[in-house]
Amino acid sequence: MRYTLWEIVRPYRRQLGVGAVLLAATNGLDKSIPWLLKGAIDALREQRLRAVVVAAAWVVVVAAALWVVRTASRLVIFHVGRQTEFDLRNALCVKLQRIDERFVAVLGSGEMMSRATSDMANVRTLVGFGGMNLVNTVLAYGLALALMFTLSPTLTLWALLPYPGFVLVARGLGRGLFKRSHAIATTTGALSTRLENFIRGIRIQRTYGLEDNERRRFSSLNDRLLRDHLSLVRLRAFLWPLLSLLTAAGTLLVIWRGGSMVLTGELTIGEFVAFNAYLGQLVWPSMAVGFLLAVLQRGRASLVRLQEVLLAPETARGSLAPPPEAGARLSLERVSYAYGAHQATAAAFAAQHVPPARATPTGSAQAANAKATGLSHLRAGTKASNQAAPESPAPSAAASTHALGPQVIRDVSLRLPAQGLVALVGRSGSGKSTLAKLLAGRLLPTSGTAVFGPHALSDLSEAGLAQRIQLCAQEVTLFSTSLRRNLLVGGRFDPAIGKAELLAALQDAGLGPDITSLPQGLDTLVGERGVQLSGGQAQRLALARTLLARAPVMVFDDPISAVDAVTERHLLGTLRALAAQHAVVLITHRASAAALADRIFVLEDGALVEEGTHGELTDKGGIYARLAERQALEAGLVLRGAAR
Amino acid sequence: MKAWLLDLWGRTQSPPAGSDVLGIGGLRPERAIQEGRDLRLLAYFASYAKPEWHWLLLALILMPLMSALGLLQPWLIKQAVDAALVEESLPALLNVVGFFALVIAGEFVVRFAQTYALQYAGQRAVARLRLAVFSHLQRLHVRVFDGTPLGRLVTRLTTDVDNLGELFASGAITAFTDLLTVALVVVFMVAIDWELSIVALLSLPPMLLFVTWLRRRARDAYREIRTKISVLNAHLAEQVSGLPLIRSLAVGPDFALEYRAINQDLRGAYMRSIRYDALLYSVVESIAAASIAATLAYAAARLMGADALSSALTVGTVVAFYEYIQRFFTPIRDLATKYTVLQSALASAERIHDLLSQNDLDPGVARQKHATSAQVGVRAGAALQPAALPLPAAAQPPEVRFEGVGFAYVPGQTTLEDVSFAVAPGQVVAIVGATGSGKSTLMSLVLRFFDPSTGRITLGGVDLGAMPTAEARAHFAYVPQSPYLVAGTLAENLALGSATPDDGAVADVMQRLAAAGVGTELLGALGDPNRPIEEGGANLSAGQRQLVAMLRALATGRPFVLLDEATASLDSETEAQLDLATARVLAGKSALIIAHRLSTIQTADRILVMHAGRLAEAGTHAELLARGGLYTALHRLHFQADTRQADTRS
Ligand SMILES: Nc1ncnc2c1ncn2[C@@H]1O[C@H](COP(=O)(O)OP(=O)(O)OP(=O)(O)O)[C@@H](O)[C@H]1O
Ligand SMILES: [Mg+2]
Repeated sequence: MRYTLWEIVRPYRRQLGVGAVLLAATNGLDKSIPWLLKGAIDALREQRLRAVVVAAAWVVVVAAALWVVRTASRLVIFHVGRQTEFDLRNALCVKLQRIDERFVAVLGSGEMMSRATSDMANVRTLVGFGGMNLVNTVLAYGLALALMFTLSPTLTLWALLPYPGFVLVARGLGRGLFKRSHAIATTTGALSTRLENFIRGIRIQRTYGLEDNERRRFSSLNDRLLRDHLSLVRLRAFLWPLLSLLTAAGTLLVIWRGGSMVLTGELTIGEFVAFNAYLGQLVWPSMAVGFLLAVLQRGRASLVRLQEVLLAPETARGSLAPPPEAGARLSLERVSYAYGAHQATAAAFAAQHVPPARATPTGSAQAANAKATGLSHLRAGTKASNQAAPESPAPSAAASTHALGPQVIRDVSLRLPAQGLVALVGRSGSGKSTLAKLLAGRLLPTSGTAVFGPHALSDLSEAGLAQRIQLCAQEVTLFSTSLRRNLLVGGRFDPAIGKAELLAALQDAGLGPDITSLPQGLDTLVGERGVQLSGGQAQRLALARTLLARAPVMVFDDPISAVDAVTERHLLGTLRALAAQHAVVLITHRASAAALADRIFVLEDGALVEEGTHGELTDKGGIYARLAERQALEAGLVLRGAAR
Repeated sequence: MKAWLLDLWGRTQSPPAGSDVLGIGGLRPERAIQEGRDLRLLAYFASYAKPEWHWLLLALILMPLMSALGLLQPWLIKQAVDAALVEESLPALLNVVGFFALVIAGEFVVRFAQTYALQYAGQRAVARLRLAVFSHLQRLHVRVFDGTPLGRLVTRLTTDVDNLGELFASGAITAFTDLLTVALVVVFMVAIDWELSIVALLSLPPMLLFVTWLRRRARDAYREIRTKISVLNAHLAEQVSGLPLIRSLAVGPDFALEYRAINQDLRGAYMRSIRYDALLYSVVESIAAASIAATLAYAAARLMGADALSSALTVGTVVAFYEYIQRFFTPIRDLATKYTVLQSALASAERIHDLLSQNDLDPGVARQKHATSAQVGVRAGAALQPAALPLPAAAQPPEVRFEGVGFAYVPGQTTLEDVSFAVAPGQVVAIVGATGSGKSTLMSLVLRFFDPSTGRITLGGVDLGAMPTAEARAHFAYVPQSPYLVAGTLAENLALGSATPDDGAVADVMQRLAAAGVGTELLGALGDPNRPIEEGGANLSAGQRQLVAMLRALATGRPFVLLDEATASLDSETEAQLDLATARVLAGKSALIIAHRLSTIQTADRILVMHAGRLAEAGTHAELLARGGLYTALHRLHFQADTRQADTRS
């Protein structure tokens, strides 16, 4: 499935067929009115008044039939439009379950939502409204021309004279429309991402008086969006009058040549009038061509942006999901990792797969595509806001310059015990979180292997992985819904999880007292629609969630950074108890916590530099010993304070 | 399942009864438009188009011209038939042809100018509106942000504003030109033959009735769609932002199932609306045809009934009427399509209006007279001078004093009660206490994100409420738990996003940091000052983000430092280099610090122990220990933890 326009509507080709037939009938009936009119007018001239009344009666009959058929045709075709929208939305949601998470992270959630909403709407309009008008226009032309031809072949040729102009206009302006629509969609996406972050930083901005700065950042994007819109406006403002002119030119030729033919007796006045009437019926379809072109190109541009998501690289996961092997152990073997790998993949992907490369002139095609993925601004020093005009050509090696970043994890090998508490320490930025994600299979090594028992992590399915390893991430995710549901997500919606179990998890995570103080208990809404949780509370909620998701291996990334000493001790007790049956990895900066571990790994600049028990490491006098000493010094201060 | 779903995700639709009780200051959720507000709403937004008045005037002047040029064409055809063809005169025909050529050329020019002027003005007005909404966001009280889902605010500035723009782009805004066309058509028709005109337009009243009825039904359907779509998007937004979690728990399929159910619901609503769309359009077309029939029949009847010559009914007249009837009904028919656009634009207008009329303003701007919409320049970016790093307001830290301060986020649920303390110039004061005891709230009050409900806070002896908020805030360097980083370079972020990240700015930041007592080794840990930072600092580790936030706060040189668990994710070596404990970077400054590390706490000049919104204890480390209260209990726990560590080691 490549989500081309045809593939999207393919399941509905029958309906579309029916719709086309109905539209044909509509057009047929529509065109029969001028035909009746012709008879009536000739009759009127010859004073055959009864014939006129009969013709009028027929017109009424046709009008009634037209009502039924036209309504039906629109129903059928709009139905297909909405149905494809429904399908696309579902496809997008399903894709989210497999998409490379780094791809979404780099794209940004604002950009992602912009694609899921604005671009989705544009594609829907293209399929429903655009599709109907396309069929309609083709039919209107075909029928009108056929009827005109029967009236007078010569005159028809005259009338057709301006129409090659249509093709030229459509081709010439189509490209421009596509490019400009795409630019608008891209800028809108960038604007969404910017706004999200702006709102997150509102307190900082207020404190430091950054309003003007923020305004400038916003304005530069807003101005760019305005420029994009205005450049589209120029094109569209030109398009419609031009098409209307071409149509009118046809009428002009018909009056002149047709009139002459009437004068020479080759044509009756009635035929002349009918001919003009048919031509008149082409006025609106011709205008529709203009509108259609705009809708079509905008829809195509948006489809490209949707395709980028729908066809985005997926996490390379296997399909294995057997129940976890008892006593199996998790180990990393010579694992290295560098961020940026997937960004490069995404850019390269865009360069290969996104079809309308031909729509942009030579060198900038790739740039346009890279921009489309929202990645080029990262490459260009992350100054999306000041980016030059979208037409500016970029080096064609765009994708390749965006290769792997520096290695963040270097050649790490480690083997976790089947049970026990393992601590992972190291300075900020030493790669602990990255290693945690590698351990949990959330990131796949750029080289080396991660293995759980008999299986490589990359061979396991998402569910198979979740049954084996659970990660409590450093960045806490809260859903704006009830506390209960936030917890149930952790329990993977297992209906067997009762209230007692939820409360127990909260208790273990040190949230017990906090919950009892909430008026609605587990049903309290948290987040924007409910109570604001403090950083420490959110952290513990996430911890409770992970506790519910019990797995043989559980990795906790800095779970005690934002809690006080009392809670810290409580949490460490919980983790210790958990370690009796599970392999628990604890990432922490606190030597007091690491000291409780059975084994400690020290990470420095992405490499494992020390490994051992607290005693071994402090004796060895390395990085860990220094860390422990420094914190013991603090403890010493405390001791002195106590002694005083 | 469905009821359960909507219960959980349908908050956008109907806020839970308790949400007001919780005192959330967010925006009203989606709601229905009231009838009759439409015009007032459009008038309200018209003010954003005011600076474009000359373009709009041009468009307005060209409008009747455009209609007239279009309507001249059937009349010319009538002339061709009556004067040239019936009379069999070639010169007359050529005359008509010449005129026709002039008319269509004129129409082209006028049409281009009119469309361009209108859309140009429209897009500029829309950009101005977007900036105005943004500026308004900048002035809103922080509780509005706390209580409104982020996605919904973003949507106001993107989808909703775009919907208004679509009014111009789709030509729906020219709906009234269409009415003009319709009126002109009637004039032309009556001028040619008033009797026939009446017959032709006989079907108008019943049609209008029917269309109005359909329109009402359609409006209800759209309303339903809007609420459903916002539920759907809220669900997707949470899926996107929670993706790593959802994936690692492998609950994606559950979410997808829910999403599908909501999506199905939405599809149902859409399918209902389609019926009205389809009917509205086809009814008008068929009635147009019926009118043509009526005209024909009447023409025949008139010719039959009376002396054909005296009735002065020419064939050309009937032909022209056929044309005019079409031109009469076409705009009405298209009105149906435009109505859809208009509906969604109006709904968006209503939501934007709601946001703009939200007057829960930040104290910092509440008393300022703000720029009116018309004064907001579209190119504000060009108008504003690049702002340099905000300068420290005063070198000397002011005394901060809380006098019997009480506060409640939600009326009736006290968060703080009778808190009194002072931070003397140069003092470092630590705040400890369990989560929820009100520590961060103290900082929010100092920064005037909120104002105390009882008591007062003074800054250098002056009531905080009595001084300009911006001026008061300029004393404080605030570092909250979650840092705010923007897309740009590291240096730009360290310089708080000052406009030009050139070498001068980099050097400037370095200099400021050095002046603040920050060692270069800390900067080394962050890497090249020119390295790119992604929006939100996504390509940094959590600790690195906090370090950036900390460093730039110090770089401002502001005399009073507020740290709210600002170093939680920093490793102890970095923290030691930062040297908060021995207060090198805090030399000559005051500080209020919320921290969990004892090292930071115990060296403080004073420690405040918060408990359940009250100040339970205050004093130095030694004093508090001697007292044997809450702090001692807390300390003992730490002490135990640390001695056990020492035990393990020995
Ligand atoms: N998404 C990303 N893209 C690019 N680089 C990244 C990304 N995330 C982290 N890095 C870089 O990788 C390195 C390791 O980061 P990581 O988050 O693993 O550190 P950490 O040890 O967890 O630090 P902390 O203690 O602060 O949480 C850092 O240099 C960081 O700048
Ligand atoms: Mg980390």
